[in-house]
Amino acid sequence: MRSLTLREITVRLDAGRRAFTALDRVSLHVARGSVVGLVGESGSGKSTLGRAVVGLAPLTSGRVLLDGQDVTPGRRRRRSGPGLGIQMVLQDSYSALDPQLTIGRTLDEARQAALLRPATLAAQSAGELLELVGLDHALAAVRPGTLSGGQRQRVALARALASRPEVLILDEVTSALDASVQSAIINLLRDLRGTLGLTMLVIGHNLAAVRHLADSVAVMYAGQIVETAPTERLIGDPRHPYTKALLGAVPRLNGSVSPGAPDPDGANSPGKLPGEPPDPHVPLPGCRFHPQCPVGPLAVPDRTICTTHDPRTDARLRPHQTACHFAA
Amino acid sequence: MAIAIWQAVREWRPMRGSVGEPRGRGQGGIRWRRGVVKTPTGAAGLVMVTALLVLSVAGPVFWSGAARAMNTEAIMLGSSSAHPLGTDALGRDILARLLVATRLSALTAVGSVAVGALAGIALGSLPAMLGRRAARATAALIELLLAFPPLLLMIFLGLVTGGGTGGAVIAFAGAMAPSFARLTQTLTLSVTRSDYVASARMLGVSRPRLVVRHVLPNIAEPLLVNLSIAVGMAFMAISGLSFLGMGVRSPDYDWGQLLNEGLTRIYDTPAAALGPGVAIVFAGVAFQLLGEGAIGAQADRRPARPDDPAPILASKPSVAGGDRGSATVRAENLQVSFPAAEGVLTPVRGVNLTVAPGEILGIVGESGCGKTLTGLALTGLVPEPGVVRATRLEVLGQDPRGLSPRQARALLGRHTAMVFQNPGTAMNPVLRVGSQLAETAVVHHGMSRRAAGARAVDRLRAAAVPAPERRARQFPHQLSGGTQQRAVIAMGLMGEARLLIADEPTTALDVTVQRQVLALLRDVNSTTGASIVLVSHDIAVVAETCHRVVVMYAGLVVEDLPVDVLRSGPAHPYTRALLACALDMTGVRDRRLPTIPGRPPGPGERFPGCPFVSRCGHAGERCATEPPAMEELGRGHRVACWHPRTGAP
Repeated sequence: MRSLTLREITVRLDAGRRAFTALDRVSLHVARGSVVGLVGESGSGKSTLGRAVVGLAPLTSGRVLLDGQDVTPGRRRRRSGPGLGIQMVLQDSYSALDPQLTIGRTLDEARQAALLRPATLAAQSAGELLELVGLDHALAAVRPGTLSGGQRQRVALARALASRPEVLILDEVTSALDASVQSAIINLLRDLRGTLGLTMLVIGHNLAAVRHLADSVAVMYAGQIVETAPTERLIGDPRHPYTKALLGAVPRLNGSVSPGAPDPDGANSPGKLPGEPPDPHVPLPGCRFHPQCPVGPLAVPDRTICTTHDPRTDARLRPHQTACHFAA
Repeated sequence: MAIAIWQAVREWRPMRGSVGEPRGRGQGGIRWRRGVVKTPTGAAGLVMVTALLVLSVAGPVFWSGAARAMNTEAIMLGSSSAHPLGTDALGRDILARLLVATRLSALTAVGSVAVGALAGIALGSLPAMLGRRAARATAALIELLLAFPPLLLMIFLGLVTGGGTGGAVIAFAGAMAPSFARLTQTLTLSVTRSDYVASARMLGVSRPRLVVRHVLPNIAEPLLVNLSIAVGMAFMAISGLSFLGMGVRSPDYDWGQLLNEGLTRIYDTPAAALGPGVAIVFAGVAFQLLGEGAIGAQADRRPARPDDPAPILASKPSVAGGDRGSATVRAENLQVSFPAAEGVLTPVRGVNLTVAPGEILGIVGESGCGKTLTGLALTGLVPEPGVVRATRLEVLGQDPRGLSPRQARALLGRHTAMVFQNPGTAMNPVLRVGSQLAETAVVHHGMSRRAAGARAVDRLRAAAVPAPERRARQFPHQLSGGTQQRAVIAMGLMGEARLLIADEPTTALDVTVQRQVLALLRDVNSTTGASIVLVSHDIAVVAETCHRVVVMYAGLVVEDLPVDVLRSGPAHPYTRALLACALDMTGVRDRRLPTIPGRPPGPGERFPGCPFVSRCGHAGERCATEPPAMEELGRGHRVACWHPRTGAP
């Protein structure tokens, strides 16, 4: 296992009038053997970041480093990218497995790829891989059509592990699953981390799930990282107003209405954001969050700095590297 | 005849089929082949094609002697018992020649389709194998080839190759290749976008290997269907070329050539021309039917609907106290079943529930527990071929099952509204948001367009849509997901909705937006007094939003409880397990998360006792053999469990 460093990753998608910046100079470090969570809402660019790192989305600029070694996809020849060093497990377990291939053959494909790599240990058998992710050997003979969502996700995980990657990226791997199955997958990932010492980047929109896996969490908004901190500190003491909104919006079992009680979501409650996310096709000066920000120029009209200066410039100087001029 | 070829070639339009769908039980291919036989068209096609095959093998073996035997005393004879189709200019029996010619006609047709399909598939899968620039060039080449009319292309190729058997084969192959290339290209594109191809790419699998291993097997089915239809077309087109003298030449002969010979004497001995004509049409129809049958089998792999769904175990109908007459919804022993290959599936096995006026009721459970179908059954929207049964079903005082379509529309449109998981598909993409909302008021309430438009803006405002005047003039795709869902809710508010059924309304939305939409639902409930049924897999969402919660498991209600009891002490072990599994923001971060071992029984399974018994930590002997009935535990709290738990979860 090695560390993963992303330097100033920029991804521009589409062309012509529809072009927009999906990722804007995103930098992130995942130390060897640690787990970093990446949270944000849909369209914030978190999945695009994962896809760009493994070469599934075009990288406009920026660098991907494994232990300081440049493995940026598309730099030199196609094969020289991160190759098998970084593997990603994708969100939709239903389309993640070829319906025509048995589980065994799907895993064989990954094992053959691993055998081509120099300096890897002998690849595990399909049965061993299935056992690793808590599945029965007999499943190697069946096609994905008979498997449940949780089983498919375990097979997808086994396939990613078959090539013995240096870094594993998990993109919303539990969000389509039932609560109990979700917990089981999280337990499995924590076990695997213990036995294999995995370096992981965990992408998700559900902080409640991500917090059980990640040592630290980066919060993404509109293609930029706005706050990074160790998980406990980020949850206990969020600095960026968007992080606060995100935390406030997580549904809780014991914070709610009873018949006839007043609505707990007053205009200033933490989970409520005014307005809508900015249109990514229109470049916005200053802070990208200001059209929705509860402490920005919408609420306090003299905070004009938010509309003119990019708060990321001095983010390093603030606690949690918060990209906010008024981080508490 | 030229017209026939023209139509054959022109009508040969590739049909798209389903691609890479997950197939049940992993034997889709076998079931699909059986399915072809089951449809009458497919069965007829299969019989006809088999007959052709047998004839093309046996024809020359049995009749080539008769076909060659010249008889100068019997030239140009008409139909007789010795020569049913007459004889030709050299006195040879035309029927024998026709039967012998089956082989050459079939070989040329199948051969040319094989060549054309191979070329087309190779060309069509090239874009997926090449780099971006080369892929674009190949795609452009396919477009260019498609721009030539196939008939012209075929005649041109026929002329260039100088005709003959080989020329005809190449001519038809060349004419069909471009459309086959296009078909392959589009089918391939949809497969290459799937996650399993992305995963294979991450593993460094080369592009040609990706196409061979992952793409082609997943598009084989629709390609084969089109191949079958193309063979039928090839029979007609190549016969046509031979008829025109551009195909098979003497001394060889095929049906087209026989038709040519026969046509000159159609007024004297019509049988000589009719015979080959019928043969050509027979072959064309045979393969067309086979292809159609295969499409039908693909589209509908379900068996016929059974007459009577088997009786299903149901918990005892409950007697809910209080406002018995005035409930918004009352369902007793509600069942929804579907016919299936493995027998009758019953995803909803006997649900009892009531919704009081002004109440927000949550229905919660794991995927497959029947919660969505229960919601659909209340509005009469269970999809075909589902069967809804109940000892009693009342929605706003009416049984949705007994209503005429017109009455059902009135009930649905005026007083009930449905909100689905995906707001993007709930609205018509080509209509402006405002006019879609106005439509409801115009149709169901007889409002004028202008008044309805004003009400639409007003309702959008009520649903907390920012800048409602502007939004009303926009199209659905211009709205963000959260705003779309708010617009759908606004649509439900156009009438005097008394019941709103929301099925996973926030599952596709971000947490910050989810919070806003849930707040809007509560707001709608308190301002209009409408009852709301909120169906969700997320027990935290339900606990936050609802007044009362119904917990479903394996198609049954296992617990029905007020929301404060859900938090303080639910009685059913399954409800408690669901709560324990729910991830939240408190609690030790690195503790091992509780899970529920095992799987719930499937909709086709029968169980004599409690459905949860195999996963329950408190099960006794009775649980496996006797179904627990709903028992009243406290005020508004009922549970179906032999060993209800007490105390905090």
